Amino acid sequence: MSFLVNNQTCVPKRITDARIISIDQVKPEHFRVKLHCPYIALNSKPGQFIHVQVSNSYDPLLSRPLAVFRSQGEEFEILFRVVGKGTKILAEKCVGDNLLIVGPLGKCFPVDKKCQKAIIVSGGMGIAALMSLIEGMTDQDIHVLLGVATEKQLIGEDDLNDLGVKIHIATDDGSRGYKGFVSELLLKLINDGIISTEQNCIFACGPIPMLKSVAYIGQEKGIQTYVSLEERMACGIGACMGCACRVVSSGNKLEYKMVCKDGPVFNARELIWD
Amino acid sequence: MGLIEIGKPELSVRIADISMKNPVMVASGTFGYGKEYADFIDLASIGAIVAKSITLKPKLGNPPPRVCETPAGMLNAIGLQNVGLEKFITEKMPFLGEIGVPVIASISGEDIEDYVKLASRLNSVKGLSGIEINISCPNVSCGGMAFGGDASTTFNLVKSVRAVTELTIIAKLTPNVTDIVTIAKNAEEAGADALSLINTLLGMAIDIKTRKPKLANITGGLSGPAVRPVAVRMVWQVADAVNIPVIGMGGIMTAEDAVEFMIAGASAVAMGTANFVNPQAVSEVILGIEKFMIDNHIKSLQELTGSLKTL
Repeated sequence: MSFLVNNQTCVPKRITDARIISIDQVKPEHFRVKLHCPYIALNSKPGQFIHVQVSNSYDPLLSRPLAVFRSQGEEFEILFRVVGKGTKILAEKCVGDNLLIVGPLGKCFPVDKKCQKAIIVSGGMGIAALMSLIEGMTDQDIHVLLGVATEKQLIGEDDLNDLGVKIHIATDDGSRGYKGFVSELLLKLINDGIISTEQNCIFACGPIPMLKSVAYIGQEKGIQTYVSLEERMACGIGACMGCACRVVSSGNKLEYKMVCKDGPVFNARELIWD
Repeated sequence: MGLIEIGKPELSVRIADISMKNPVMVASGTFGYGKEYADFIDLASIGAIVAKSITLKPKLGNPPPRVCETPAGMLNAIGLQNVGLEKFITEKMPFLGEIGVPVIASISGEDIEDYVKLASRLNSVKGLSGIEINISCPNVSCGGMAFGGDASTTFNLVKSVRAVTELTIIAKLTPNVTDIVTIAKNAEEAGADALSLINTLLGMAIDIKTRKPKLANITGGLSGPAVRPVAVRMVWQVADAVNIPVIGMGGIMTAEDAVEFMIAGASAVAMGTANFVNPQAVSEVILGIEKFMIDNHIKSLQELTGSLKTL
């Protein structure tokens, strides 16, 4: 397989200022922040992430790893859910505030020339890391599967409609679309012949149990599967060795790779899930 | 001859045989093998680089999660994941050796024999200026802190390493002891050229919803601004009791923090967790120390080191 994008085409990592252009609460606890930051907006590739310093008070001390959701010109957006101290502070920022950003970080999604179609599988906030990939793929035959707990948490549907992709929705409580997990929906769509397995790749982001199921389906159906992982991290640049994930080494042994530097995008076959 | 440079302070410092252009080092385990920070700072501007600790054989490290945030600090339990001695020499040293600043290897082992083997092999490695003996890692089951917590083991270990290398030896001490001064004196007596302190403080954090520890290793090492007062106190105690230079570290984020350590008795300082928060932190602190010296009419670092006044 040949990939169009490799690590060598990535720009140097930089510390840069980003000015907040707008902050919108799109759902309860969910925020969308638009930032003016040419270096990241112009250079970040789908799958890469940025480290955002939410406070200079040392509490919280560490930066927050966030995906570039969408970008246009010199601006880009981040999408996040308030889950703790850092994201709460971020949600309370004001238009005009400056954020210190380190990036672009990590490896991007590989783009496979043979892959004419794409299956995008998002669990929860996973869409935040997948939207920029979908944006760059609009000429392909794309199915996007969105899985959330309940309809109220459904994010990005309008953006996806704009991009003209096929959307499939799963909710745990059945409040919208398929009732059940998004991985179950994926299997159903493949088995029903709605999604073809030919010349197709899966790109997924979401909670670990969901990624594990998607990786299994990809393997069973013979579809190349790439997942974007999340892990608590400190430095974001491969120095602290904090964000370890389990992989199979060339000698078929357990090895730890770093989500920030070796990922966050991994070929699902490489990962050990348990 | 017209201009005489007035007020340009002297930032250079000497730790045994290691000459540094400024007193700001980077602490082991927080700066990878240098390359990780090359996008952000001029590596040649750093006082000295202490590389990530190495062991004889490559080490897998601990299972994740390995880090978690705590108030003004963080816990880590990396478990010394590293490439091992030989790969350090063949893959990491060529880059480190070309930077043009002193490079110090940090070594860790499960028994004294490991440290001796590491030190004797490193003794002849080109581009290396010193060896830091890590007897203070809190996240490994054998060795590490267990050695540095015991005065006679510290003595025997440092003495054994001293016997096989002419390189400058720095013993890195753990704060997780009742009396750090006794440990420091033993390291000095055994032949250490300098002391680094402190390594991380043993800590723990729990997720109250799941009632599980936030680290897979359960306990981890606390670092960051939260530990600084403990570190300053220990540097002050140790510097007062030994006749070898002390390298002070523990939560240094700014030039003011670095100066505080020097007043407490540190001849040089090292920055660790700050590198994670701001990858340019070292450069900012070097400039900040110079500015502090200019503003306060301090000509050399010797005027600062150990200059604590009592109330």
